[in-house]
Amino acid sequence: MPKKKEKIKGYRLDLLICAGTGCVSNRSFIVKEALEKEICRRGLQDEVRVIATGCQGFCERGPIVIAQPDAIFYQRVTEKDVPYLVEEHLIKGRPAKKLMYVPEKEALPIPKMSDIGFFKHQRLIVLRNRGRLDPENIEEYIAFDGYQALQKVLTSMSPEQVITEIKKSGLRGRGGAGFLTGLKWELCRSAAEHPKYIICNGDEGDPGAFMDRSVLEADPHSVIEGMLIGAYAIGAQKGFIYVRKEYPLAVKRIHIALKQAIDYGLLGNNILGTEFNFFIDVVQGAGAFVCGEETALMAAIEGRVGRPRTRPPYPVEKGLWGKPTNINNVETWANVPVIIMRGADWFSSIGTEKSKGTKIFSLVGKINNTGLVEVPMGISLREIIYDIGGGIPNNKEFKAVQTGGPSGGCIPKEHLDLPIDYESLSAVGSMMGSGGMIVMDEDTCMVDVARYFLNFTQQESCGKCVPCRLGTKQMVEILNRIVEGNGKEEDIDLLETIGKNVKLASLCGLGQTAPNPVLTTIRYFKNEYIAHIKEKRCPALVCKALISYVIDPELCTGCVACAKNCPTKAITGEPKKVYKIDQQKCIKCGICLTVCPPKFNAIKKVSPALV
Amino acid sequence: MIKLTINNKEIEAKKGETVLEVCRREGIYIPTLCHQENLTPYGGCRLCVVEVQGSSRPMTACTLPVEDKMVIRTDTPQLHELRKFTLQLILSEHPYSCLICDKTKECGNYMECIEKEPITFGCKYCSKNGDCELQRLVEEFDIKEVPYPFHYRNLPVEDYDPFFERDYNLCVLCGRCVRACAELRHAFIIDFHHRGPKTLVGTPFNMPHLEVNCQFCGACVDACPTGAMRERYSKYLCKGDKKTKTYCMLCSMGCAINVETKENKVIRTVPEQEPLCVRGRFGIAPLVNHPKRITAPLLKKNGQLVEIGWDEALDTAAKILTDYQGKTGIIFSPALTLEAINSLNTVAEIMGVEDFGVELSVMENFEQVCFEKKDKKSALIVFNTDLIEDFSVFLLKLRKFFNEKPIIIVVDPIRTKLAELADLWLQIEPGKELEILNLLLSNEKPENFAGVKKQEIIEARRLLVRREICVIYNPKNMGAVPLNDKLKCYPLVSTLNYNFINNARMPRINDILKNDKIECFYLIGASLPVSKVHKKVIVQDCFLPDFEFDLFLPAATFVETEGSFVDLMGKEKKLQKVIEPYGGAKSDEWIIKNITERLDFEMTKSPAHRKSSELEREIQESVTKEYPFLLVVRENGYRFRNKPLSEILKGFQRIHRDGYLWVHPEDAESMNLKQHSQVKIIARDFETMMPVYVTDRVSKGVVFSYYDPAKGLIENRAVRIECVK
Repeated sequence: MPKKKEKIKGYRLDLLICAGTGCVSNRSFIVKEALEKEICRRGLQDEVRVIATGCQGFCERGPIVIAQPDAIFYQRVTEKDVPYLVEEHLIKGRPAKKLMYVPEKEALPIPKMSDIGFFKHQRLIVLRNRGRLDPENIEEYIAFDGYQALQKVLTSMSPEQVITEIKKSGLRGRGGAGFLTGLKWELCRSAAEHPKYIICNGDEGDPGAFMDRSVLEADPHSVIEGMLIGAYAIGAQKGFIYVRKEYPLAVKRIHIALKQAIDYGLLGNNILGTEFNFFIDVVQGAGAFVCGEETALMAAIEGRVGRPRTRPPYPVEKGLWGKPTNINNVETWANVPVIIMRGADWFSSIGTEKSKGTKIFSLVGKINNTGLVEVPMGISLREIIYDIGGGIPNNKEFKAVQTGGPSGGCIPKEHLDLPIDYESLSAVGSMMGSGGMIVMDEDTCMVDVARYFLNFTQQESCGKCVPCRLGTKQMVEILNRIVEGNGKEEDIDLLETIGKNVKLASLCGLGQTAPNPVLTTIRYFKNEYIAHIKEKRCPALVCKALISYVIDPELCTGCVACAKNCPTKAITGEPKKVYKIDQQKCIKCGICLTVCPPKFNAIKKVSPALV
Repeated sequence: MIKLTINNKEIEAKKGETVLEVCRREGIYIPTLCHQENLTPYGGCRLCVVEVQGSSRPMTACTLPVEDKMVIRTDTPQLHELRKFTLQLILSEHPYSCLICDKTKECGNYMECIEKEPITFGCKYCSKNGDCELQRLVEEFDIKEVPYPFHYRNLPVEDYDPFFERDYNLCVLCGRCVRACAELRHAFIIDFHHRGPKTLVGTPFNMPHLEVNCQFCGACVDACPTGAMRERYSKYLCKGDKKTKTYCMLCSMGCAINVETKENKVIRTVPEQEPLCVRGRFGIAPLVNHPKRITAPLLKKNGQLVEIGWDEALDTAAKILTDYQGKTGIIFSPALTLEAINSLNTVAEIMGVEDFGVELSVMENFEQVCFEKKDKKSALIVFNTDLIEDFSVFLLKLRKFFNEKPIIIVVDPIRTKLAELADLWLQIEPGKELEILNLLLSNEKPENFAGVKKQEIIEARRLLVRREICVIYNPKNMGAVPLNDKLKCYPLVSTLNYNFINNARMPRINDILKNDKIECFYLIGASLPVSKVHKKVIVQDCFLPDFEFDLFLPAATFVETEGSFVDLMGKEKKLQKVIEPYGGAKSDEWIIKNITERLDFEMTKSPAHRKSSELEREIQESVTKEYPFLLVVRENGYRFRNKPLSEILKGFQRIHRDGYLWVHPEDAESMNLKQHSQVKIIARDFETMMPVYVTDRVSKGVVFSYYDPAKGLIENRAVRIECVK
């Protein structure tokens, strides 16, 4: 039982400063220190409190400070802004307008968090506590109804009832495959062998994805509570949280949370005075993408090389050390307490017919509002990209969005109104994955993108099965020769054949999805491939071998900026006269393009290459 | 019973079987590459994919457990295409020029010398040609082209280890070697490196196998489906044309071997079913075909060795034995067939030879080693025996008897390979082994004892709590034998026929040497410190001895003879004659019988007093100022008849340092000894010369050598060491 509580002291104002990894790397801890110092200097330490919270999601605008109770949103706060913020908001009692968020193309700042487009369209279930509590303090979690679901389960529900509730809610695995969580629990519970284990998969290896990290950093107790409920339902006594070593802050906060939970009698023997015992160990990953695959992850926990094995037998029958094991992703576990508290009916009222609840996406790439968003299933891509994401920067045109991590597919403009759920995404050749969402604009070459992602999966393949190890390698080699201008006409067909077969014949999810970026870009952007192969032209002017830099004689004023900066002395001419690039000498580094003053804008990229 | 449908055929199967097992049993063909029956399924090569009704993608038959009402297809065009695709991908990493060349057959007729081709770039130059699983698959799938560019890894061939070499350019990463090493041998020497397209098989940090405690059992070589791992000795001999089952007689295990022959020549020996050790796997073929083998009888005439015919040789032998009746000692190696030993016994009886004995130093009441399945938690206490080096196959068999992995405590003054892997190693002073056993089992207050620390004794007692204790020891390496009613004691010796000889109560070599009446020796696969007093010496062996002799009778090896022998477990095993004896060599039995026939005297009554095997144990000598080192002598498990294998085959020199005196680095430094420097070993009763092997496997003040009666190294002694320039 929780120890004797200190009386929580009341404050006039709370300043919630974001301490997610994004804001921390933008010096949010330094800002926090400066704020505290300034508040002390002004003698406000008994009235105003500064709290470091988990990720707010709007990482583009970090470090973020939210002044409660009015929920005034301050963005990009630096330590230089601190005296101004304290002076305006805390002393004079008026919002500090200079630090407020102004949407692109608009003039007036939006003071309230709930009015900002980025937040307005989100529906927070998993991230319900984001930015409103201190993740390193269990009491704050408890104050926001934390561990009530656990209490409800332990005191008034049988394990079967819990499983029925989760099944009824329609919650599906958020790790990518979308298997019904309740069904998985039931299978694990009904497995004959003992002991049983449960695992929280926090090995989030997708480039640009940070959902799990954010949940673990912002609200570790919700994951622990979810695991406790799952363990009770399944009949497990031991759980593991497998988290990437590359997430030091998340690891630190899990450890703090676990220690606090043990101190409060929420973990260990006789939890909340019942017969139920449960223990959690943290295992840190060693940097292999493939360890996100459940069988590889279990091998890694057992201390073996992280390589997947074939299924069946599935982990629910033979998992860790050959015992029944239930493995769910961080986000799935964090959903559990809410479902128990608010009921399966409430949860299943959100989302589409087959996909219930919400999904977190990490919105990155060519987008105005980079960040973490939680949206109900069934929302359209357009809403996410334009209403929440604020559209594409620099008035560029949207080209495609890649969902589901490096092995997801690229979805083109035509499908922007697609309602997002597991089925619809796979219907267009992509997948839900763990929820990465990379937006691409007109300056992105789709062949190059496919090559980039495939190169990643190829290198991260464990090397066990032939199709994944060698099939992806052959595909990368073909893509390499296409972007280098050596593509052959039959290459597109060959790519499609290999891709199709690799998907069919590979052992684990990595190989079974790795060709997706190539297959979808061929499906939706075949003309770009043809341009690369037949015309030796890169329509997006990206592939180095297929472009040349030229100086527009009409625009060049002979300012010498380019010639001075050219590393190979390829640019020649006389001052005040038109300069010229010697294509033989040019190494296409692009420096001339960046140094050419925007008012002249005389350097142009052309494709196909001139030489 | 489970009923499933495979290719529209109803089939019954047992729970727990895989689809591949069922198909194999039913004669339904499914191609495989990474699968090997005695290894856990891997599912890596994806060639065994089958279609399962209700599953969106094909599954690998090797890993798929059967389920009731399963409907499976193994032969659809789509599966064929998928398998072909996978195989072509495999070929993109394996030199395939010969595999898809349409001139392969004609080209094969123009045989060049493959020994001149250092790099394997095609089947024609590969040692696995004709025996390669990839070759067979390519033929089966009729692959005529590979649509992908060929990627050659361009790795150097790893040829720096003895016995086998590795060309990972040919590796298809099926993982069979890795699993064989781990699962069949529990050795864990090789595993996968890196990931993705850079994946490779190798040792930790790519160190030579020699440095990572590889046992060179060859399990990996036998598992390799391609030519990536190949035996050095037979790599240019390719595939044999006949396989014959017989037994290995290089140690007391007597493992079953399959001898592969080609035109009456032994090419290689491979495991029958049970695993082999380095001796049986790599030792036999080069031994039988060794260029230094003597295949014609030799007679010393006027100080010169002359080749003679068998008639003359047998007559001479019979004449010498007749001449020296009553003054002849007959000593034989225990590694002969029972038939040969019996015929020798007849000779001895006919001649009334008093001094007839076996080359064994210590005789014991020898219990047969037998293990029953143990459910209880067990602990093994191993005394002075390196189970890994000398009895690796026995250790593997032993593991199967225990449901739970037993605790292993090693009591040994020498840091053996087993000591390195044991749960606890007590490095005790030589000669105190048994006292520590009593100390471990008693409740006495633990104290530092003979080099073993108090904490170690406490730790050992803690490990032994509530465990059934088995004691394993090599009687030949012990001053005394553990006798304890409460314990199960299992003696292990490397010597063959130990039981048989023991029951016959034949005397040991020391007693014979002490008899100064003897003027003539008849040595059958045995060696002795022969001196000038011995006027006539007849040697019957495969290789020349390193002492003077008068008559040499070339004997056949155990693959060239019929006969039987008794193994460690007391089981009699029948040898098969695999090939005709090399050159003019004859079997021991044949030679002895023919000599007997020519002996020119009537059979005497059975000898009045054959030496009995009653023993007076040498009391452990203690070191003195004059003899400051304690020489520990161990049975040499790496011998062929009388000769250490290392003297015959180079590879064994590198893995087994016999013929050396092991000295601790600090002792070596104080005496200014370097690696391989010659020293004189002086004990109270003998003197000999030996090179030095400086190693920290021995402790300070202790020197070590393997048993070598020709040098007088028979038992533990206090010795003095002198450096010889």
